[in-house]
Parts: sequence; structure tokens; C-alpha cells
Amino acid sequence: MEWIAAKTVAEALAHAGPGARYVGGGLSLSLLSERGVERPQRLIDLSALPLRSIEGRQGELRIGAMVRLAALGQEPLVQTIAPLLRQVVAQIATPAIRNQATVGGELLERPRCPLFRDATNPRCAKRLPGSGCAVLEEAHAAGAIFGTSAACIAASASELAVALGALSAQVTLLSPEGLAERSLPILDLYVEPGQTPEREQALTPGELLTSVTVPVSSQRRFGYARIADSPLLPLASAAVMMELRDQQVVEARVILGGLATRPWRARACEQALRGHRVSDALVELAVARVLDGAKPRPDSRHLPALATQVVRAALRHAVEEHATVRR
Amino acid sequence: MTDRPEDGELSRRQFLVASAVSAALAKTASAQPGLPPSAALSPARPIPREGELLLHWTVNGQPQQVVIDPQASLMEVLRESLGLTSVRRGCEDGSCGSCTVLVDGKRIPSCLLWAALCQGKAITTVEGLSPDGELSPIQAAFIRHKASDCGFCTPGQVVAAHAILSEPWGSDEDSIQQSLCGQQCACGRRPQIAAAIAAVRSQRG
Ligand SMILES: Cc1cc2nc3c(=O)[nH]c(=O)nc-3n(C[C@H](O)[C@H](O)[C@H](O)COP(=O)(O)OP(=O)(O)OC[C@H]3O[C@@H](n4cnc5c(N)ncnc54)[C@H](O)[C@@H]3O)c2cc1C
Ligand code: SF4
Repeated sequence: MEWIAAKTVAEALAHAGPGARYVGGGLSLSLLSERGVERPQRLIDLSALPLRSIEGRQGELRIGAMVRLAALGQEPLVQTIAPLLRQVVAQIATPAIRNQATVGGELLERPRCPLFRDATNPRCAKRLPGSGCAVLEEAHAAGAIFGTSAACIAASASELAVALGALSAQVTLLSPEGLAERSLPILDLYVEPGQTPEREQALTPGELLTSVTVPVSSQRRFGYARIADSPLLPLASAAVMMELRDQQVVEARVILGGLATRPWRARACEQALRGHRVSDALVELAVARVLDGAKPRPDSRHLPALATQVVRAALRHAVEEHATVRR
Repeated sequence: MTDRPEDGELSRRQFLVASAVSAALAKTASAQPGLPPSAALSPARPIPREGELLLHWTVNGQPQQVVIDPQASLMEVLRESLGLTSVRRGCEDGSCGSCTVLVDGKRIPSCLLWAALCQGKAITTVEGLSPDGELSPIQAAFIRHKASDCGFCTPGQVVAAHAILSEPWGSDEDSIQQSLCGQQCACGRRPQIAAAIAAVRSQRG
């Protein structure tokens, strides 16, 4: 295995190619490589690149891909501009992991499906295209209930993406092809498995995630909730945004994590909120639409109930925040 | 992994040998402040072969050069090349905290950290917290509060506790519990560990 300590962004991109992987904090990649799930031939270390700043510009917060989660959580600008981010980051993994894990690495974390992460399991189309799926065939483990396909039902892992989705963030990507830069809404970074479960993200080969941009808005209220078996095993999370004018919901976003193959927009739920006066009854009407489009299986057990629970808690959180702001 | 019993067998044996070496070397470590105990046993080859990397770093205050395999974790290099077996081989998935070390003063699980990412860094293991052979305040508090039982996780706990004292946590019980997330103690000494941290914190005011 070849190790490249890139000194510039151009150098990092120049080394991209088949078998090459970027290293953010390297925590996830080292674990999966040790287990034989990932087999990188070349590792491109991004630590020396100038992607580590958090800047407040006009109307937006720009966060470099190599910002560590601990630094993100402790940054006063984040607390002032996007307190939701701080709240979410404080619950990701452990304090020691947050010292090393990067924003880019967390956003591009591979799914936690236990049979994907077990290289001794021969049937996983995500790891071995065309090999089938041990979860679907033997129904061993609960997978996602939204955005699944006949090929794969692995739930996407990033919790930061759920928060950034509610915040309407954009990601900036840089391609090795002619150093072309593009920006896209964070939720468009993720794709459903369909017939190609081997990829979870819309990155083109060698594309480097360079930064995340969060628009600043004083009109918007946010809420977040998370359910975990233990602090280290998040099961479900929801981040919501409500923009209110004279008590009316003029815009809403409801994003679910852990229960879908990509950070999931509960559009029916958002629709139920828009144009109505904010109230506890409205929250319940919206919660009743959370499972629209869900595809639970017999093994999904309690997952549909978790989805409604986290959305209810997150919406109430946002409504209460609104209440305290008004008083 | 349970379906490969022979591996489990092997690593347990290695573990027993390693513990014995660690105990035997503990004296050497205090007699030669700052020197990793086995530096003399496995001298670093200064010339890396094809596919290897040469790291320049500081381990417990001592500048060193060490040749590594780019696939090696920091835990493996510290244990196997430098003999620092206080860095435990625990869960190896970043969740138990028995391999916690400081990298430039920040605690990180060394099992998931590629050693190659530590070029130019200062690494501190529990040995480095008492370079003059004198217990640091948190080590003394661990003893006073009986915060160790079987001792397996203790080095990682002490390193983590040391780091927690310089992190921006509140001083209430809940904050201390949150700060210990990812530091497990199978003997159930978490309350005593939390008490040791609280005691040092209140001494410092
Ligand atoms: C015990 C434990 C508990 C955890 N609990 C949680 C939890 O509660 N919630 C949660 O969300 N996560 C959790 N995680 C996952 C953790 O957040 C990730 O392991 C971590 O964020 C990965 O960050 P990294 O920078 O080390 O990633 P890396 O390993 O460096 O990278 C991950 C992937 O992203 C790619 N990559 C990295 N940076 C870039 C870039 N700039 N451009 C393009 N590609 C890039 C890499 O090639 C790799 O494929 C947990 C992990 C552990 C070990
Ligand atoms: S659900 Fe997807 S990731 Fe999990 S075993 Fe099946 S194909 Fe692999």
C-alpha cells in the first residue's frame, strides 16, 4: 500500500485514480481496511491541505472538509450561527473519535450494515457487486425502511448530513478532471442503492469534497432528536426546520437519518406543515405522514415507530424553540 | 472473531506475553525517564524499505525515528515496535477506550489511527504522564479513589482523564459522564474514575 502525504490540493487530486482513497481522519477507512472490507492500494493523506478553516462570510458559514468534529463543536461561530450543528456534533461517536474524525470523512462514512462490514460474509452486493444480499435473503438484520431496493437495504450512516440537510447546506466538490469545481445541495450528495448498491454517493471518480456551506437565516427554527441503543449505536435521528411568519409555517424541512438508504426528506410530512398555523395539533398531523413512502419488512420491527418518535420529538423541539423566542 | 477460534487463541497468548513484558519493563521506564522501555530492544531501522515509511516523531518527550508499515495502526507501532504495552489491544473498533493515547495533547483511539498520520506529532502514553517517576495529579487521584480494579483499561482511562481535565467540559456530574463516553470499564469502576476526575478538577478550582 502506497502512502501519499499530499502537500497541496492539486497534488492530492493528481494522485487520485483506481484503488486510491482520500484519508480524512482515517478512522473509518482504517477500520474497514483492517477488516478487508475496503482494499485501498493508495492512500492520499489530506491533513496538510488548507481545508481546515471555519469562516463566517456574508450570509453563510463555510466549513472546510478537514475540520475535525471536535473543532466544529467548539467553534463559537457555529454556536452563534448554527447551534443545531453543535448540538448534533456533540452526539456523534465519542469525544476521542471527534478529535480525529473530519467533516468530509463523517459525511462520506460507509453504511453500518453489519453484513457489509463483515468481509467473511460472501453475499453483499455493496461489497461484491452481483453477489446478492445476506440481509434480504436471510433476514438477519433490520435495514432501512425508506429508499431501499431489491439489491440493498443498508441505512446510510452520516448524522452530520441529516443536520446539514435541515440547514439547507451545500457541498463543494473538486474533480481531478480539469480541476472542475461544482456545488450541490448536501442531500444530492447521496444516492439510493437501486441496482448499483456499491455506491452511496454521487461523487465522480477521484472527486474531492472541499467544503460545506451553511446559509445563515434568522427566520428559521430548528429541532433535532436522536434515539440510540447505546451512545455508540445511533438507530434513528431527525432534524427539522420550520420557517415561520406570523405563526404560519411558510417553509419546512424534515430529514430522517439512520432509517433510510440516504438522508431522507419526509416530503409528505413537510407538505402537511406548510401553510398552516403552528400548533401541537399541526405537529401530530405532520407526524401522521412520516411513514408515507416507507417500505417496512417483517424484520423492520420497531423501526417505523422510531421514525415517528424522532420526528415528533424534533418538531416539538423546534416549536418550543419558537415559543421561547417569542416570549 | 468467534468463527476463527485459532486467532483468538493466538492473540490471547500474545496478550499474556505482552503483559509480562510490560510488567518487567515498568522498572526500566521509571529508571530512564522518558525513554520508551523497549527502545533498546528493537532499535529503529533508519532506512525504510520499499513500501515502508520513516516517521520522525516524539514519543513521551523523546524525539525518535521509526520505520513503519503504512497499514500499521498507532497502537500496533507503540506496542509491537516500541514495547509500550500500556496501550491495550482492546475492542479494536474505537469504542472501548483502552488504547487511548494523546496526539499533540489530544486523546485519540490509537487502534483506529494510522501511525502514518502521526508524522511530526508528539505522542504521549501513560508512561509519559509521569516522566520524572512522580505520579501526576490524576494518577494519584486514581489510586486514592480506587479507580482501577483488574487494570486492563487503566492506562487508557488515565490518559483520557488527563485529557478531559484540559477539555472544555462543565464540572457537573453529567458533563463528566459525557466526557467519559467511549471509555469503558468492564469492572464497573466508572463512578470511581469520575470521582477521581472531579477531585482533581476541584483541586485546581
Ligand atoms: C465507536 C464508533 C462510534 C461511532 N458513532 C457514530 C455516531 O454516533 N454517529 C455517526 O454519525 N458516526 C459515528 N461513527 C462514525 C464516525 O463518525 C466516523 O468513523 C468518522 O466520522 C470518520 O471520519 P474520518 O475523517 O476518520 O473518515 P475517513 O476514514 O478519513 O474517511 C471516510 C470515507 O470518506 C472518504 N473521504 C474522507 N474525506 C474525504 C474528502 N475530503 N473528499 C472525498 N472523500 C473523502 C474516505 O476516502 C473514506 O471513504 C462512529 C465510529 C466509531 C468507531
Ligand atoms: S443490505 Fe446492502 S450492505 Fe447490507 S449485506 Fe445487503 S447488500 Fe450488503
